[in-house]
Order: sequence, then C-alpha cells, then structure tokens
Amino acid sequence: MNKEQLLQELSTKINSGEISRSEVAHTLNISTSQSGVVVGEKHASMFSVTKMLYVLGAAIVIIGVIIFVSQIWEDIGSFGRILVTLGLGGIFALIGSVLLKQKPEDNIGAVFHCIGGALIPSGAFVTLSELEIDMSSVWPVAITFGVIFAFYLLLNTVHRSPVLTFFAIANGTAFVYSFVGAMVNGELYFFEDLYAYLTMVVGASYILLAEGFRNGWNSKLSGVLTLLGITGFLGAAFSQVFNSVPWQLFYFALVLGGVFLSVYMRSRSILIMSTLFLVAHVSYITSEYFADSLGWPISLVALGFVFIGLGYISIAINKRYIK
Amino acid sequence: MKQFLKENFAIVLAFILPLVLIVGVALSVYLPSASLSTNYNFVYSSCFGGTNYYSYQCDTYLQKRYSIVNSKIVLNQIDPKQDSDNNDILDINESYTARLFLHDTQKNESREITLEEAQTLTYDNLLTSPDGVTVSNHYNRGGDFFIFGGGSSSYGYYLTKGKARIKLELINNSDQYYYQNNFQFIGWVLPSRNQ
Repeated sequence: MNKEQLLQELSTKINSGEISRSEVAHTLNISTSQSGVVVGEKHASMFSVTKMLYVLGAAIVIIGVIIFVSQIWEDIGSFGRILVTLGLGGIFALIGSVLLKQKPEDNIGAVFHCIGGALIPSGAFVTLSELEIDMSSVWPVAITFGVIFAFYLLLNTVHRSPVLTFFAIANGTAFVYSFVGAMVNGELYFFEDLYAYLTMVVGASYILLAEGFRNGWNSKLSGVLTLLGITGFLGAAFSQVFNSVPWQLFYFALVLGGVFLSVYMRSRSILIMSTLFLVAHVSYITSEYFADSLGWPISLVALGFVFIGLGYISIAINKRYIK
Repeated sequence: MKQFLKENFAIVLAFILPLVLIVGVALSVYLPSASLSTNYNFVYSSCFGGTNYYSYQCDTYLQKRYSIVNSKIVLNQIDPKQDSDNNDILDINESYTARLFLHDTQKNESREITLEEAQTLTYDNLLTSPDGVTVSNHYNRGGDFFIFGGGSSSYGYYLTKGKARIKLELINNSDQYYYQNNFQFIGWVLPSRNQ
C-alpha cells in the first residue's frame, strides 16, 4: 500500500466514523500545537449555531410528538399507541443510522438517534402495558431494558457514535438496577443496603468507562461519566456512614482514595466531588461526636478552618497535579 | 484476544463489576432458598363468602372458628353476639365459610379438606415446625427498584428458616394488602412425611 492509498484509506475510515481524528492524533502522539488535525477537531467541538439548531429542533420534535400523541392517545387504540411510540422511535433510529452512515461528519444522524433513544424505551413500556403484561414483577421491565441495551450495544458496533454509547450506558444502567430488583423482589428483606452497593459498583463502572473512553472516539462522554461515576460512588458510600462506625472510618479512606484517583486520572471533577464529600463527612462526624463535647460554636469554628484547609489543599492539588 | 483485553482493560472491567455483583446477589438469594425444606405439611383455614364483600375482614372470625386442643382440631361455636368486623352484622348472619386446606410443603400446593378429614390428623400448632421451619408473612415492596419507583406491593406468606425463604402458594391468597389476614395457620401435621 503506497502513501496515497494509505491516506485515502485513513480518510475513508475517518469519514465513516470507524476511526476518530482524536484516535489518529493520539496514536501519532500529535499535540494541539503541532497539528491542524486537533485544531480542526476543536472547531468541530465548539458550540455552533448549527448545533444549537439541531438541539433545539430535536427538543421541539420531541415536545411536539408528546403533545400530538397525548391529543390522540385515547382514540388510536393499542396498535396505534405502540406505533406512535415504539414504531416512531424505531423509524427515527433507522433514519439516524442511515444518516450516520451517509454523513458521518455531520451531527444530524446523532440528532435523529437522540429522538429515537427517547422514544424507544417509552414505546417499549407502552407495548408492555398494551399487551397487558403482568407488571407486579420487575422481570418484564428488566428484560425490556436488557433488550434495548443489547440493541444499542449492537448499534455501537455498526456506528461509532457517542450518542449511541450514551443510550447504551443509560439503558444498561437501568437494566442492571431492574435486574437486581427483579432478583430480590419478594425474596430478601435483609438486603436494605443493596442499592447503595449497586450504585457504588455502577459508579465505579462509569469511572472505568470514562478512563477507557478517554482517548477513543467516545472521549466526549468521558467527562460526564467521570462526574456521574464519582458522585454515585461517593454518594452511595456516604449513605452508609450513618450509625456505622466501620463505615465512618472507611469513608475517610474512600474520599482520600478519590483525591489520589483525581491526580492519577487528572480529573478535576473527581477532585471537586471528593473534596465536597470529605467536607460533608467531616461535618457529619463533627455534629455526631464533637458538637456535644466542644459545643456548637467551637465546632463550627473548627469546621470552618477544616473547610478552608481542605479547599486550600484541593486547589493546590489541582494546580500542581491536574492542570 | 489478549491484545483486545490489554487495550480495553478498563471497559472490560466496567462490565465485569456489575456482573460480579449480580452473580453475588443471585447466589445469596437462590442458594439459601434452595436448601430450605421441611418434612411436615400444615393445615390452614381461609375465609370465603360472607355478606360483607370484603371477606378479608373475617380474620377475627377465622381465629375463633378453629382451635387446637390436645393436638386435635376443634370446631368452635360462634358467639351469637360476635361482630368481628364491626359492620353491625353479627358473624352468625355474615354467612362466612371458613374452609380448611392441607398444604403439601414438598410440592408447595394446597388442597381443600373436609372437617372430618382434618379431625383425623394430629397437629403441632406452633408456627415453627419440629424441624425448625416457620410459616411467616412478609410485606413485599413489590416492583420497587431504586429510583424507578414502586410497583404493586403485597403481603405474602413464606416458609422461613434463618434468612432463607420460600413463598407459599396458598389458595385464596391474592397477595393484596387487604387480603393479608385471610389466612389462619392451624398447625403442622404430625408425624412428618418420612415417618
């Protein structure tokens, strides 16, 4: 393969979305200052009027569909209801896929997938309801989310689009929660903390996905996944500290681990959330153990200094290791 | 494959973590229940009919209708002045029918028995069987799963031992909240199936 063929092949793959510009830049170790490739991507990621119109248009379409469907809901019968929700969602997803294939450099395909992604899950539940599936168990819900998750995973292998990955993750998350809910439904009453542990696991998974996506074609999702992941993880863990001394001690290790992770991943959102949860935990510990002995005013003064100290350390870490 | 795992280690681990939790929960849920069994069957009564549409309100009537005396079932006469559900209709005028059922714990199925058949059996009226399994009711939050809200909650009756539970498939047990009391445990049938 000569140089021209190689470049032509690369160009085709980039246009089809199989390889992203950032992947090429990362593989060739091209920095922002060295290459117009990255500069070009910067332009693409900037907020433009076109993108704003896409987003506005998608929102208007979704609102319009909801209003229209609600107006005719009672008159269209079961088949009609399934058609205007699941059917319409499927059509939008199909159009989105065609557009992603034909115009991979454009965002129009992703916009159609956004509308489809909103309609498909709701359409699936309308279908369950119209088919009078017994919803006293969570299994039908879990299976539905599982099928939608598999659908979006499959779409991800065809089109490499962050929007499809987002819907795969959203439906995958709903699937995991509903699957666990279905398993324990009526079987266990001693698993009160199960959802907290599950949220910690899902949060950890989000952070891992963010790390995995960082330099790939899904890098746009990395930031939001990191934020959601660390918030879910530390938030769910924080729900366990109340009236549990081992958890109260362990939580310090978790938030400090979060601070170290923020340095390792160079993530400001992890640093901010870890600091905020550390502040919350210190406040809780102070009110629980020191408010009565030291008195509230002195506890507040001490807390204030602790907050200032944590803020200072956080800013120092950010400046030195993350920026 | 090795190369793929190396390149996508974080993503693979992101999928594995929830899977591990799911497998762990599945093992904790299903393993203890799989080992739970009792060699004893039991008899219970349930209310049918009545002038009151809501037969679930005859729980007090059920409690008084049958009792165990010297390990045998006894049919008690109803106090003519008794009004269990306080609806100003005396129980004798309610036309309640308290039917008796023998529950086979091995097959988890019930069949109706006559009072005469019930009177031939010997009972232990403790809620816990001689081999340590208890009949217990439990409020089930139903379709609740995290932020997605609740489905239909219900009361159910279970065989329990420690943390293990098996749901009982009873007759006339609609699982609805307002039917929770339409079940009266009479007693474990002695001797066990193996004797």
